Amino acid sequence: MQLRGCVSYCDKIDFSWSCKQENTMQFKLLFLFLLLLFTTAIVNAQRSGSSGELSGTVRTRTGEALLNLTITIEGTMRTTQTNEKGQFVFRKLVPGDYTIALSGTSFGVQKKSIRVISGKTTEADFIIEEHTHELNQVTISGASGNKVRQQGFSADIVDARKIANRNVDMNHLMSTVAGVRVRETGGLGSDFNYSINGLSGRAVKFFINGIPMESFGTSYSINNLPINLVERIEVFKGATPVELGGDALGGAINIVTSKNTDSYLDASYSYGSFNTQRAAVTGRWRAQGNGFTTMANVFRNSSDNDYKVSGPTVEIAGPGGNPIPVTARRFNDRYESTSAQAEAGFTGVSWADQLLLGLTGSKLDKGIQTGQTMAYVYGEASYKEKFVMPSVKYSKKDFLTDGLQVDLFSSFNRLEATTVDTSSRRYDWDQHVIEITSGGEIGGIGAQRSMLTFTDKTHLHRLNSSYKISDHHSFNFNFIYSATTRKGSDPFAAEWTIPYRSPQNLSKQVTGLAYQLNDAEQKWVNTFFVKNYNYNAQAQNANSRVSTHSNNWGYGYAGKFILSNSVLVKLSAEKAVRLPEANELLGNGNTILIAPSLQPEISYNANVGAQFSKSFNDNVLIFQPSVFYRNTSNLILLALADYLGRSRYENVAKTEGKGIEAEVTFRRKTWLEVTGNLTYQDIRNNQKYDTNSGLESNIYKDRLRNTPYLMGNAEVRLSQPELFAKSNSGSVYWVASYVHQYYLNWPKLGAADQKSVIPMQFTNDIGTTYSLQNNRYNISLECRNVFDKQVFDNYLLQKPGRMISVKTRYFLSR
Amino acid sequence: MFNFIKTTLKATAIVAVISMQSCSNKDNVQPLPESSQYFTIVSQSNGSEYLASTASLTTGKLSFVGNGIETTAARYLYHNEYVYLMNTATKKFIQYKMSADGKITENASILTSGVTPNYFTSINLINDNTLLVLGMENNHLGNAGWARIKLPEFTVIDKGTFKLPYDINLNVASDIGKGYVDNGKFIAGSNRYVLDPGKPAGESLEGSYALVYDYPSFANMKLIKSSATTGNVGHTYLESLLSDEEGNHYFVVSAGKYWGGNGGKSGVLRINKGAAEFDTDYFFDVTTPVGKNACLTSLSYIANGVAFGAVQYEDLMTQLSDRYKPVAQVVKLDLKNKTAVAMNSPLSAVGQFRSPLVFNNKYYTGLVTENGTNIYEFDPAGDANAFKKGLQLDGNDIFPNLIAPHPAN
Repeated sequence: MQLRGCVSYCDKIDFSWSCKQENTMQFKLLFLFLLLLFTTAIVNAQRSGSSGELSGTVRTRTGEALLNLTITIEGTMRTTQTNEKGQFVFRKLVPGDYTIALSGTSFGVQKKSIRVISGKTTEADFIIEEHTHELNQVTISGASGNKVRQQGFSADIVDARKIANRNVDMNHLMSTVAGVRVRETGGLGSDFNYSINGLSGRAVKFFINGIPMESFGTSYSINNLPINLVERIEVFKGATPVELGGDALGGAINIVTSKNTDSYLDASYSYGSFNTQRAAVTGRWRAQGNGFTTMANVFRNSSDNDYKVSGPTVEIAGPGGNPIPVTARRFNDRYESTSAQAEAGFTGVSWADQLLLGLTGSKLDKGIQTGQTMAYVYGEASYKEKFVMPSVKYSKKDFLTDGLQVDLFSSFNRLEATTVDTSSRRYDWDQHVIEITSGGEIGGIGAQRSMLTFTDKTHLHRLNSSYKISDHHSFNFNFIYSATTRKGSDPFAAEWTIPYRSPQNLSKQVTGLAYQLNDAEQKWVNTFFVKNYNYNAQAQNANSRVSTHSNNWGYGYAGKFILSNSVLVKLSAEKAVRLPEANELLGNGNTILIAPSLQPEISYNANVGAQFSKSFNDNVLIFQPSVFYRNTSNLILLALADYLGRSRYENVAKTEGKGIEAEVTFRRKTWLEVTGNLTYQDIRNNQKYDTNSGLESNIYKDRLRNTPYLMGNAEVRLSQPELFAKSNSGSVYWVASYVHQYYLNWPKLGAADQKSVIPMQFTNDIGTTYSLQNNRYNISLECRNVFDKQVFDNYLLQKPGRMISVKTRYFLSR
Repeated sequence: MFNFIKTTLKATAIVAVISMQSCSNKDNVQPLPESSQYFTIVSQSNGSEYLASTASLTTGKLSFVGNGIETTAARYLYHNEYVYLMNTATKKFIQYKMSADGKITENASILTSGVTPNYFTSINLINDNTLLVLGMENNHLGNAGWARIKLPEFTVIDKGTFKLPYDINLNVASDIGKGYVDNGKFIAGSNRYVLDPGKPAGESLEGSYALVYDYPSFANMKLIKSSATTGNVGHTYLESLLSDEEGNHYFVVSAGKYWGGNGGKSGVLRINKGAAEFDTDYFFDVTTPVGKNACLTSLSYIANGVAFGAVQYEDLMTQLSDRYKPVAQVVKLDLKNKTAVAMNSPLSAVGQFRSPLVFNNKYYTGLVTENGTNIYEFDPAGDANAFKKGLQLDGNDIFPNLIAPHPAN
C-alpha cells in the first residue's frame, strides 16, 4: 500500500533516491511502530505462566556486594549479571535440575547445582574470597567477557551495558581504551581509522560475534551500531584468538551483541548539536514452550554535521587571490544511515542452542565536504551505499558428544556503493560558486564528472568448533571462507578511468586450531595456536586474465597466570599475517595498478601485562601495566608508479614498535570510580636500506610518520543508587582525552618548527544519566568537547567542536 | 599500599621521561657556514619536500635531517630573490623570500581555487614584474584559465578563461605547455593527442604544435604546426623553453615512447623573434647524434647558443616508471651548429631536472645515482668531461627539483 502510494506520487516506477527515501521513511516508521507494539505485547503476555525462578547474591566474605558478575545456566543460552546489590535473578525457568556457573579471571569458575520448582523461587548465593573479585571489575570492562579474560590474550573489554544510557559514539568510546586510537576525518559518519598499539588501517580487523565485518561496507560498521545493541566490545592487542578467524595483523575488535536470553524491548533516541539524531529499537521474544525466537533491531543515525571550521586552509580568495581566513560552517557534510536486522528461529531447544535465519540491511547517504585537506571544498559531491545480507546461524553445545560445541554461520551479501561527483560547480568556504567547469568536483584522474558504483558480492562461511576433553584440555577449531566479486561501472566517465570495469575475484580462507591447557580452577591457562592463511585473486585486464595465490602460516601462544589473589600476569606472542586486499593485489583498473607479486604483511607481536589490585577499607585500587613489541615486515604501501599519478601497492617497509601502557582504577564502594590510562608507543621505521637505491636510509629508526605516540584518558564517575526514589539511580561523569602533537611526515626531516603537524588535542566531556523504575526509563545529558577546542585527528581536517545532546531510553525486560 | 603507590609513581615517571626525550629535537636546525653566496635547494625526500639553503653548490654536504622548510610542491620557479612553489596539498601558490644571509621565509601566497581551473599547471615569467599562470581542466574538452600575477607584490592583476583546441569530430584534444610573450602574442607549446576511451593517453597526433593567442586578451587562438617530428612541445613542469641573445625562442620537443610522443626523434624547434610560426628551416634532432633512442626532456640556456639539458635513454627503459632509474644523461647542445655532446657524467634518474640552475655561465643540476645524490657543475667551455661532482645531498630517496641563488651577501 505504501509502495503504491509512492509510485503514484512519482507517476512512474521510479527508483530515484527521493522516491525511495520517502518509501523508506514510511516503511521505517511503520516497522518501528509494529515492532514496539509487538514486542511490548509479547513481553507483557509472557509475564504470567507456570514456571520457577532462581535468584541469589554474590558477595565477598565480608559481605560486600559484587556488581556486574556474570552467571550462566549451563546447557542453556541464559546468562545474567549481578546488580549493585550483588543480586541476580532468572525468571520463567522450566522446572528441573540445573548447574549454574559464576566465572571470573581470578577465581576461575564456581559452580552450583540447583533445582527449580514450579511456582517457587530457588535461592543460590555465592561467596568468593576477599580481594579476588577485583580482577573482574577492571577498567571500564566490568565483568562480562569472561571467556576472553580467562585466556592469556591481551584484551580490554568494554562493557557496553554499563554505559547503555549514555549517548555513545562508538569511535569516541573506543578511543578511550588504552593503546587504541581512532582517527576521524570529521563528524558523524566520517571516515575513520583504528590503530591498536601502533598498527593501523587494514592491520586492525573488526568482527561482530566472531564474524568478520570487512565485507559489510561502511553503513554497517562499528560506529553506526547503537550501544544498546551491544553487550561488550572485546579489544585484542597483538595476538588474537583463533575463533576470530581473520587476518588481523596488529589487533582485532570483536563486537558482542546482547546475549540477553529473556524477552525484552530496548528503545532509545537522542538529539544533539548539528541536528545529530540517533534512534535505536532492539527487541527479542522467545516462546518458552517450543523455543521459537524472534529478534529485531533497527537503528538510524543522522547529522547535518554543520559545525564551524577555521584555521589553515579554511580561507577564501581576496581580490588579489591572496587567502583571507574565515570561520565557516560545513555545508555539504550531512549524514544519514539506517540499518535493520531481523532474525527468527529456535533457541534453547534440545537439538540446537540456536538456529536463526536472519536478514540484515542498511543504507547510507552522506555528503562529501572536503578532499585530502580542507583546502579542497566540495559543495555537492556525495556518497551512497546499500547493503543486504541474508544469513543463517546454528550453534549447539554437546553436539553429538559431550564437550563438543559447534557454531556455524553462513551468509551472502551484496554491497553497492556509489560516489556521485556530477556537479560542475566549484565552491569556496563561503558557499559561493567560484567556478563552473565541465568536470566534477572531486576530480580524481581526468577531473571528469563521475558516478562510480562498486558492487561487491560476498559469500562468507564460518565454522567454529570447540571440544573439551577434560577440565584441563580443550581444543578450538575455526575456519572462515569468504569470496568476493567486485565490479565497477560509471555512466559518465571515460572507459579507461572506471575502476573495476572488469570484475575482480578474491577468495580467502583462514583456518585456526588452538589447544588450551589449564588447571581445574583456571588459575593458569596456556593457549597454543596455529593459523593458516590462504588466498586466491583473479582480475580480468584488457588483454589477459591475471591471477595470484598465496599460502602462509602463523602461530602463537597466550598464557595467563594468577600468581596470588591480587596479582595476575598475561603474556602472548604470535606470528601474524595480513593478506593483501583485492585492490592492493589487482589494482582498481585505473588509478591503482596491478601488483600480482605482492606478498602478505608479516608481524611478530608480543604482549606482557600484569594486574595488581589492592583493597583497603571500602576502596579498591587496581594497576594494570603492560608492554608490547611489534616487528612488522613487508608492509604494504601505495607507491607512485607513473607520471599520470597512478600508483601501485608495494611491499616496501618494515617497522619495529615497542610500547608501554598503564591503567589505574580507583573505586570506592559503588559510588565512585576513577580511571586513567596512558599509552606511549615508539613505532620506528626499521627499513635500513632504501628498497630502490640500496642506500642507507636517513629515516632508519625514525619514529613512524603520521602516527600518534603519546595519549591518555581519564574518567571520573559518580553513581548513586536509590537516588530520590528506591528504584531510581543517577550518575555523573567526566571524561578527558589527550593526544600529544605528532608530525605528518618523518620527524627527522625538516626543521622542527617548519613541519606539518597534527596538533595536540585535549578534550573534556561531561554528562549525567538518571534512571527510573529499575532502569526502565532513562534520560541522559552529555556535553562533548566542553571547551569547544579545535580538534584534529588528521592533517588539516577539523573535527566538531562542542556538542550537546540528550538521550532517552526505554528498557523493558521479561 | 605504600609500595604499591611508589611503584605506580615510578612507572609514571619513566613514561614521562621517555616522552620528554622524544620531543627533544625541536631545535635541531643545521647552522649555516659563512658564505657570500647562498643557494636554496628544493628537494623531495621520503614522501615530502624540503627547502633548505646551502653555502656552496660545489663542496660540502646538505642534509634535510632537522633542516629545511617542509612543503609539497608540483611546480617550481625562481626569479630574483624569490622562489615560487605550487603547493597541491593546500592549493596555494607560495612565494618564499631568499635572504642574503641564507634564510628562507614564506612571504605570501595565492589561492588557486577560483583563479584558474584546477591549479597553476603552467607558470611563465613574462617580464620582471609579471607572472602568467595557466590552469586547465584535465578532461580534455578545451577549458582553460589564465591569470597575471604582479611581482614581487604577489597579487592577481587580472584573470580570464580561454579555449584550447578540441576537435570533437576527430576526437583530438590538446594540452598547453610553457609559453612566452613576443610581439603582442602569447605562444605556448602544446601536445595534441587522440582521445581513446580505452587508454590513459592516446597517441600523439602527427606533427608538433604550439598555440598562439593575442596577449593579454587570449583571443584569436591559432594552432601552429611543425612537421619535423611528432612530440610534446614545451612540457609544463620541465625546463623546456628558452630564448637566446637574439630574442629567438627554442622549444624542447619530446618524442619518446615513454615521454611525450610515439617514439620518434626528439630535439629542439625554433620560433624566431617576433614570429608566430615555427621556423620551418630549424629542427635540431638530438636523438640521432646522442643515440640509444635518447629523448630530450629539458634544456637550459647558457650563452652563445650553448645549452645544457637532459635526455632519457629509452633503450634502457621498458616502462614509464623506469624514469626513476638511472636512465638519464646530461647533454650539451650547440643550438646554432646543431651539435650534441653526451657528457660523461653518471646516469641519473630523470625527475630532478625540473628546475636546474644556470649561474655565472655554468650549469648546475642534481644527479641521482646509485651512490647517492649530488649537485654537479657543468662547464660549457670544456669537453664531455668538463663537469665536477659537487654538493652532496645526504640520505636516500633525494630528488632535487630546484636550485636557486640567494642575493649575494
